[in-house]
Amino acid sequence: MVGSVAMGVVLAASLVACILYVLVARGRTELLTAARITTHVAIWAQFVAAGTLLYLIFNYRFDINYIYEHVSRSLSKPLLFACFYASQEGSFMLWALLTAIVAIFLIPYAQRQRVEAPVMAVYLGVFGFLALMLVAKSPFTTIYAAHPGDVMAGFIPPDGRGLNPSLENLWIVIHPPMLFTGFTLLAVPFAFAVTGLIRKDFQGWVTTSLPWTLGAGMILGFGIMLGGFWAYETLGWGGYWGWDPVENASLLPWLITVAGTHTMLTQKRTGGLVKTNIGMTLLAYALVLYASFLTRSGVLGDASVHSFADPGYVAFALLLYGMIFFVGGSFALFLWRWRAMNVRGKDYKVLSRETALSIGSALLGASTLVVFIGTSAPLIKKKVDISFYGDLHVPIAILMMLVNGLSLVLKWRQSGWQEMLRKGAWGFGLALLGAIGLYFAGLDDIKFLAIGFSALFSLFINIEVALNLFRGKVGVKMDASAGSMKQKIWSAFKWSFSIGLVALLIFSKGDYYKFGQIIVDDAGGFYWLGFFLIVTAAFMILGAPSFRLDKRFIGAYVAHIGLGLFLLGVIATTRYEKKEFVKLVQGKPVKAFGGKYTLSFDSTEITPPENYYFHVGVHDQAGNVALAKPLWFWTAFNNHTDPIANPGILKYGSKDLYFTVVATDQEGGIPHDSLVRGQAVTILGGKKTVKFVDFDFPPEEMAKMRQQQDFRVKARVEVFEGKDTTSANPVPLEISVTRNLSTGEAHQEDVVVPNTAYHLQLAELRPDLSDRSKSKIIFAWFDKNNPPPKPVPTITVEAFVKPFINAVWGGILIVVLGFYYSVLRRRREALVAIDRAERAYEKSKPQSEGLKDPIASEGARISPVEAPKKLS
Amino acid sequence: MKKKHIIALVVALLFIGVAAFALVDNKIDYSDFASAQNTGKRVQVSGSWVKENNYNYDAKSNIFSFTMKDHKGNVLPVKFEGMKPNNFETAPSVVCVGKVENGMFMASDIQTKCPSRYEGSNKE
Repeated sequence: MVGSVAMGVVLAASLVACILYVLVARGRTELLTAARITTHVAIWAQFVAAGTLLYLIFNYRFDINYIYEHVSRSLSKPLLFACFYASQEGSFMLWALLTAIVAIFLIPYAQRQRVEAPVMAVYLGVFGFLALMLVAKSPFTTIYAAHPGDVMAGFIPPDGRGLNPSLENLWIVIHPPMLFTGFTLLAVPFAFAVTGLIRKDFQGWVTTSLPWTLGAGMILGFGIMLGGFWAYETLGWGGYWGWDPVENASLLPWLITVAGTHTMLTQKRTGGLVKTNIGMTLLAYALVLYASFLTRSGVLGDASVHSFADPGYVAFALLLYGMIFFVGGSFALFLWRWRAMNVRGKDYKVLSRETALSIGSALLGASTLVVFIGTSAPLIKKKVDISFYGDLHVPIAILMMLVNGLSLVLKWRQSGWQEMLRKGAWGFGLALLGAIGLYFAGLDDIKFLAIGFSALFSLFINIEVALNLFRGKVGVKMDASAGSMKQKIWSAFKWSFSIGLVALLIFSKGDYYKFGQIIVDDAGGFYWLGFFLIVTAAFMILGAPSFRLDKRFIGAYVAHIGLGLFLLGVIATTRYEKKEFVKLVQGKPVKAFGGKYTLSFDSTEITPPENYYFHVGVHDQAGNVALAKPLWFWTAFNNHTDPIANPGILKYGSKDLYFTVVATDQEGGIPHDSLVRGQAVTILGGKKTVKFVDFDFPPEEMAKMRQQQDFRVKARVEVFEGKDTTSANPVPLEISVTRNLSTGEAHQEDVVVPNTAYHLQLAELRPDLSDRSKSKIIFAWFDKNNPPPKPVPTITVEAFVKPFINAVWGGILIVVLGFYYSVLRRRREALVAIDRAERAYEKSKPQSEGLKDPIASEGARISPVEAPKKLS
Repeated sequence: MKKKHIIALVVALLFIGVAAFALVDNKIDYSDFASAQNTGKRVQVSGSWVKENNYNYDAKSNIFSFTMKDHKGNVLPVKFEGMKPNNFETAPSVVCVGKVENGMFMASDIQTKCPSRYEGSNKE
């Protein structure tokens, strides 16, 4: 097998390269070329292995166990792609693949700082661990090797089991790769921190790994948010975060990473907090490994809805020992260097931005601790209630936002009380007004009011500072001659794109689900193209207007504005959410939410294979009507026993209306009775008794059912005179029904009950294939000459009004944008610092060594403390 | 600097105190019906649905009820405010969080374990 061989090569090459780099770091510089070549062998072998798995998936190679268990022919192309990382083995493959890709960029980056050897040695150790997992639990195992004795060698199943249907939507294509990219990127600061410990260079690594740490924080944070969005959009329970251990597992490294970025800023200024920063960077990666251990080792068995199943002893042991090796090793080194790290940084006063950053960091650390305790409780067979997280995060959130607001009115090194009060007065006053406003808007809970106030405080101060950054620097200018053709077209695109987005929001009334429809169906895209061409022509002739906007330093402010918005959104959705259960009979509108809305169950739309969209009309008081389409579908995944519910969501700018169908029923119609095999029931007021003898559902009819064709089931019953089932002469009857699952049509073949005007009808058969005696029929009886009215279908919906839910999503998107600006800024700073160090090294280097290898065990270092930059 | 450290220590201890209090308050033990009945505490019980006694969902009150047998073999009726969990009928085991009131297990959370897709034989 190509894949298995390639994985073996990855394992061998990454370990050999790791050892070679260790030797290089210890002075054997002549081995550098060999180390690099071996690393590239590992990288390319990893590409081959991942490519092979993808190839096998797209070719439906069901003789491979992993593919048999997670792929099926009915999946669409993007979902086939998602099968790549649908479970244990595949997600390790994705992780290893991303690790290989990042390695390509890491080598030259580390080389320029003359830390290539130690950084790559650590990084390749991580890579080797992932490769080891993939060799031990290979996605390329055939089903006959995975189930020896059960399956004949060479057997290829015609189809696979497919994905869990609740995962089958486009978010699975985006969310997991995001998380794994975040995890992968965190290995880079980890490698730099370990290198710093080995080399006793406790300063330079901060500047150079900060952009990677921020990048990891950005992508991981975005990935976590998408997970919440995914849950909200598809699972139908109405929430976006449940403090589930698997959710928490990805949150833990994120929280500590964000905490670390704050103290790293302090170290960049003062040179202090050495232990804190190295410790937090090691901890962040330790938590990544801990998260994988928790979610993949099966230890959470009873605690989580979506942890992976028990992977078997070998994988469990590897995960455990791998985690112990990396965490134990890095922290042992940390303690070894403890005394050497006793660096005293530049002094700063208690009232300074440094202190505020440290407190902010400590609060994030406290949050990490809370989540860690809650998530780890199942390990000792305990569990914490969801309220544990909420209760403790209330004070953390309040303090965090207050400290954030204050940190911005404090100066670096030292600040005065009066200055702080003067600068913070505006924000404080506005936040107070806002909180009073919230109180009169009905927010009477002191906890929520306090969070609201501190969130508003942080929000206003951040906005104020961000605007101050722009003051005097903002302007629009137009210059026909400036800029090349390419720049003008790009500028025209940016302007038309932004205007188009605003237009889309207006026309869709905030419902971003309708974007596609407006662009494609309503020819919006066509108009946009015309608009874009006109703008381009105008820019060619008149010149492109350009904003003079200094975006270099706004990252942190943008991120905190997003955080404030997010918290306000959380308050609104938890506190102001309204929920009602409404029973809807088709065609009979019902008032809900105190008459604010009238709901009606209009019809049921059935689409193949077995999707039932319930059309719920939502009429508001102004007379507007919108249609929500909550869904029930049946699938072979759970043997068609239970429907799986997806919500129907109506989006508005200021709120969502969210509907999940929780039950279906019928109202009125003819009387029904249900019978288990052998059971009897009296009908017609005791005149007759019906006994269910057996059902008849032959294999050929079952096959028709699976192929979505008409199929017929029969039930044999016996009808007795009166109530007595011991009387000698029951009349045997056969009732049957012909159904079609794809159209939902049913045709019953009625039978006359002897000597009466009544008919028997088979409404439904619920066979229990494992125990036939538990099979059940539902049958109806009615007077054919005087038929009762047709039954009316009814549904019960769980309806939510979720105000300002978009502030939750929008807030996090703004946080992510803030991270992006920060990454750009810190990347620039890192490159400048590296440049400076490189030049200093070139100067100090004796001429005779000019041709020697650039990797010296003690190379040039990045200056310990970066010269303070002008900022706010 | 010393003063700063002391303040930080006090705040940290204060937080740990609050966290410990919240932890004791919100802790849920893995348990069984018998001890849940004795202690009256909120616990987590794992077991399986007794199929002979049917389940019932009342859409009006939004209450789902069924009979459950815990891993020690004790049987108790369970009531849950909410709809029937996904895969309830096929799930080999059910995990409920709640407490015993009036001889009935009032669940605040029910989780079902999917029939494992990762194990078992593939005799086809």
